[in-house]
Amino acid sequence: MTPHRVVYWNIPDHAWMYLPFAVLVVVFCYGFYRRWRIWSKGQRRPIGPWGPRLRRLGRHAGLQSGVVKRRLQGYAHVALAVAFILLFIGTLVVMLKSDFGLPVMQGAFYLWFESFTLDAAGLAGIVALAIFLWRRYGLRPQALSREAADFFVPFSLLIILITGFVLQSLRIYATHDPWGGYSFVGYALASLWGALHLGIPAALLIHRSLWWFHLLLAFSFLAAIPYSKMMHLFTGPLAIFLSEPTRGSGLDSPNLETAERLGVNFLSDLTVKDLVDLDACTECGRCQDACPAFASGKPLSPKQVILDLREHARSRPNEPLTLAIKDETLFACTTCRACQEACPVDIEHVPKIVGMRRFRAMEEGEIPAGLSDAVQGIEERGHPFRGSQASRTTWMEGLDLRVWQEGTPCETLLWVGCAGAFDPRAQKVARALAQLLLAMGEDVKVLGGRESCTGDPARRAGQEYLYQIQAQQNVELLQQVAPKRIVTMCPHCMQQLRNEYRDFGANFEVVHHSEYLSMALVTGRISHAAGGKRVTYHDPCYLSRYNGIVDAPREVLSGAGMELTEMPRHGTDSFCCGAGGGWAFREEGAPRVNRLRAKEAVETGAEVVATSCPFCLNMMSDGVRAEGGGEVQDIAEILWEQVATSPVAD
Amino acid sequence: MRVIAFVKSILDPEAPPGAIRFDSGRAQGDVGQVLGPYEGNALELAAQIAEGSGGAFVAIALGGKEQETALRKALALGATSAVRVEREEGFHDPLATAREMQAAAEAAGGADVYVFGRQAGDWDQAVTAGLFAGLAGLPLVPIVQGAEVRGAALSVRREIQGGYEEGEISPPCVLSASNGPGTLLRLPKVKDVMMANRKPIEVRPAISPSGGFKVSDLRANAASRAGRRIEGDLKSQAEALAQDLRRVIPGIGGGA
Ligand code: SF4
Ligand code: SF4
Repeated sequence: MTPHRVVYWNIPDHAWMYLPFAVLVVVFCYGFYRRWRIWSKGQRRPIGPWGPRLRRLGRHAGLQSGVVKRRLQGYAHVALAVAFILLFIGTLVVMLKSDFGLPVMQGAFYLWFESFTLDAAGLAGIVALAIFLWRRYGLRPQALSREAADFFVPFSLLIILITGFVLQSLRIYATHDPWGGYSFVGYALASLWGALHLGIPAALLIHRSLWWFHLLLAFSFLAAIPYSKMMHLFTGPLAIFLSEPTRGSGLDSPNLETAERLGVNFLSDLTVKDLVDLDACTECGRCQDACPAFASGKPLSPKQVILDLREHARSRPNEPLTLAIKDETLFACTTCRACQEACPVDIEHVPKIVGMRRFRAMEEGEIPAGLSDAVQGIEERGHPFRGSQASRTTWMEGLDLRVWQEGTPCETLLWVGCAGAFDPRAQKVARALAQLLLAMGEDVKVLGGRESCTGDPARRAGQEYLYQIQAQQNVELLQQVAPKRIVTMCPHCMQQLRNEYRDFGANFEVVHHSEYLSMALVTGRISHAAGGKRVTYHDPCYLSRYNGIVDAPREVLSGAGMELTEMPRHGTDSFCCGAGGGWAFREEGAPRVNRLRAKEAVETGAEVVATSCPFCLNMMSDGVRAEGGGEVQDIAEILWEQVATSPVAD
Repeated sequence: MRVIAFVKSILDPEAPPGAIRFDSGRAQGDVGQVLGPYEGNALELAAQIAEGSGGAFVAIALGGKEQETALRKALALGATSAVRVEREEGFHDPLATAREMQAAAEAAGGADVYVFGRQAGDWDQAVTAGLFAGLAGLPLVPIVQGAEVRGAALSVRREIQGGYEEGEISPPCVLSASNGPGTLLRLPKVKDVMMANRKPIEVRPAISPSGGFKVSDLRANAASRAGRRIEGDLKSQAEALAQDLRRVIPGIGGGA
């Protein structure tokens, strides 16, 4: 006989299930409609090319590459997702048989897929759910909340899977199913009923009652999806698809002259993507675990920002967002993007935070002390380093470096940045880099007094108006200079010149000094050195996470003969130094972010802590000194010290 | 209450000394103009009084085009109009300046409260508010750190040695503003900045050429220009600083 099973066995009145099914469809659709209604309030942005978005969707939603970064719960999540996809397909197969009469529930497919594979899937699902419950209620990590809904979701799924197995076992037991062994979990349970001498009439009665319970529970669970965080089944992939497919950009450049409101203060000021994000959050807390502001006790949890905005969107959608997110939360952010990097569904926290900062800064004139001084400095004198008595060329005194003159060509423009020009520690890095470039025989020029702040601190502070003025002026000047390439030692300047200035017509070749120096080592323009010290490298957020540059600085260090030892958090998973988002110009209370990061660096036992950002350099110098560590240097300084005596020019 | 605030743009006091040239009796250079620090306090005070009383607020500056930096800032902070009295930049006799101010204020329709910065950030004379009050025959409250409108009067908080005092004054009056928590210049709203950039600034001629004391030569103190950066770790920096101080301030640190 062909292996098979009778669908709806022992459920003669199964047609009644279409009644709760109809209710499920109505409740589900209404819930979905309510979500959609909120999303439709958002600003629409052009989707752009689909290719990179679909690839990202495949990687992040299909392969769950973000989820598996955390090994145990990541793989448990993958197992659960695969289990439910298979079980869903199994249910569709049953439907094809019962509603369309297709002969699919038989033969090898029945034995190996409908029986064996689905049992394996169900078992994997149970193990995964047990891991989730154990983590949440056994290990009780701070990142995971323990509200009623947090229990309801995994527990009801567990009950659905367990009752499924019990139903299967009762059928195998009562029908003496000759192919029951393929359903190995149900089969094992069936032998238990035998051992308990369960009577057949009782088994039939339990089976029928349990079948309806299982069905109603499963339907209730499905109907609850749009009302619970399980909505991420749909919104997760959607949020991933709508997220920025490439690193680098991030913030929009609104036309402030025509904007109805400057910045974000109502749901309708957010984008559709922002609003989908609110419903995509799985509340996993990974963003919170990665957040330097949260880790240093500041009143900011990126997860809570998303949940507070979600609650606001649902309960008072027409009220201002200032009711949901306080200033101290908004301005605590270093814009390091660790949250976005950690988020498995590519929720974009930073554009929302900066959007709300824009409202506070531009519509209400509210910027925290220190940062407002920096912004005022940019406005009044083109740099945020108030009190500096240096000029834009003080740092280069004694160097044979030329300032670009109007009407002359420019091969390599060294964009010094405000830190390189005005901050005494960063000036040394600028000198080291300039000396390296000169030693390579590079035709390098600087803009001198004509260089002005890129406006990055103003943009991160929410002062978009000032930022746009700076951006337009700089782009105009750079178009006039028309350098073949721009080299900069500041990842924040690079982020502007390379990525964000594109909105203002810029299209320059901009390289970070790590890229330029590593290429010089590869091509032999600088010779490799040996016998360096043991070094650990701190990845600046704007270089690693914003621009994906993690190898080049390490290549420079190894070219300088350094022996690299990594901190636990490095590369794109680096931990912020605490300077971003304007914090370089603010007073920070204890515990300071730089101390947390410096501790990690010192614990590696490295003699030198290296970095490649002037702001990180200062933060790490302070932190490492306080933690009793050694020297902190920029990669350019290390390379110049190591190979200054033997550069090989072409 | 109608308020008139006198404001002034000055050469950026944070500019590196080497960037400033001294010639033709005035300091100049490739350095930006900024609102004088106490004029910032005056603007804040004027804005608060105008807001608190629902009155208008006019900003007046004396000088060349560079004064528009201060006037635009005033407009962004809520000034209803701005007037520039055209006259040469540089040092002017304070009494002549006070007369110009009085004439400009009268032309602007006068006010209940006249607000000054306690002293200009460049010449540091600290006498103009007093001279203006004398010419106008109005009471002067100097070094004000905060004011609140109480009906027809102003409750004023002012700095005194080692503390502060509070009192009331009935306009018309003159206030000179100092820096304090109550006079910290707010950040203007961007919409207001954009609007301010579009508003016209009224320009009127000076009533008379400046008389009195005239600057014939102006130069920087050689010693004060020759700053030097102290390099090294904290300890050696501190030692070098102490040594320098001993050299320039005779009698300190010699004993112990
Ligand atoms: S960008 Fe950084 S500081 Fe801001 S919320 Fe995200 S993780 Fe926290
Ligand atoms: S925002 Fe992302 S990382 Fe944070 S809790 Fe939600 S899903 Fe998890």
